[in-house]
Amino acid sequence: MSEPAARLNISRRSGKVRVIADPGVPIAVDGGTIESNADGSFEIRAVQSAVLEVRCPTGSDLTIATSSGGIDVRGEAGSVKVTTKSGKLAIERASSIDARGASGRVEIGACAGECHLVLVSGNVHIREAGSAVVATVSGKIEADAVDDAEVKTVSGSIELGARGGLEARSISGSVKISVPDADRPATRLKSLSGRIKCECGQGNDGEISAKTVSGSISVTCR
Amino acid sequence: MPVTTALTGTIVFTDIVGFTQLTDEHGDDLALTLLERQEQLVLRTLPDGARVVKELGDGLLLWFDDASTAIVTCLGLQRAFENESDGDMPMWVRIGMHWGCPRARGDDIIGRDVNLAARISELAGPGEVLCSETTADQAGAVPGVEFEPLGSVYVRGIADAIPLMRAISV
Repeated sequence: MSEPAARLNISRRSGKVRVIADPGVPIAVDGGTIESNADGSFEIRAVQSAVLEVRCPTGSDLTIATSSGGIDVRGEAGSVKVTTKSGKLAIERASSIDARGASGRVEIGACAGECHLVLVSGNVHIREAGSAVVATVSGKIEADAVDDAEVKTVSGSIELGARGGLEARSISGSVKISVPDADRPATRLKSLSGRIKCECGQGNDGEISAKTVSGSISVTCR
Repeated sequence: MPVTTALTGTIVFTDIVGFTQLTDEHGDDLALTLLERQEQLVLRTLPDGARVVKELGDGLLLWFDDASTAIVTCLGLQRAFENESDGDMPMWVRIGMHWGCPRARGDDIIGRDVNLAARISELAGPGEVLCSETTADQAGAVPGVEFEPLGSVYVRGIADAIPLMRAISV
């Protein structure tokens, strides 16, 4: 019999956390302790070890808190909520994501629902998401294929592959948006002092809104 | 030992995102304009029982006697900041808060709970209002507001992870 999805609260002040969500596997912890809560969720805390590794069934909801150290979520998770100060964050697949932290690279494979990221610095790469809400101060934000996106950065650059409605805001960072070749999006592009280039014809294939203070804006067909 | 007074209420930090870059690119006059816009909006919005404790560079330290008023006021402030952002210069502000018992030092407030509120504000994105779970518990059910749990967070100088919530207007 396959194990049902679980709710796991994982905490570790510093050091690496790895979670592997595989179909039907029972919950197992290596490098930490596990306790069940009255509400049916589980508390997992690291003990001294190089890596805290947690195995859980596909679709498990994860809440992960660290101060430093990388976080690696493999397989297919449910909702993933992460707070960290530094270290690389990689999530292969999740139903929704909320991650916030100070610095470090963020790699998101696929997020079926909303992918909400708040970072100070560090590069962000989202391969695929239903919707993306991303805010950074600096660092590059890349999203290959998102249905809807709302992206803000102070000085980082933004590169988005559009499938639906996009809203990009930047102060000094550049904004590059690519749309499918046959698409004719409705565009609203505005910059106080940056260059604006739009290669696409106007139409109703999604809405693209980009606004910067000094960063350049370009909308191209791919 | 100096004589101090313990207060009970909600400590709020606001912070203009990108202020340094905007100042660097567009000069000190713009910086002053942004600070004045922030201050005017805040002063216009603060209800009785709330005050600006002090200015902190590009942010403000605010005090509210109760948690639910702090949450409702700060969500309203974010809407006002968003309206201000419709112009050429963005007004992106992050807000974090914690309900606790700081010590009064003259008009100022100090202590662990003040430090925690400051750390919570650092995790907020532009336009967001984040609070500790303690603040949400203290506020109870607030009409027009929902709290979304974001998990716990380790912050500098505090041993245990602190449960964090996002306040959302509904």
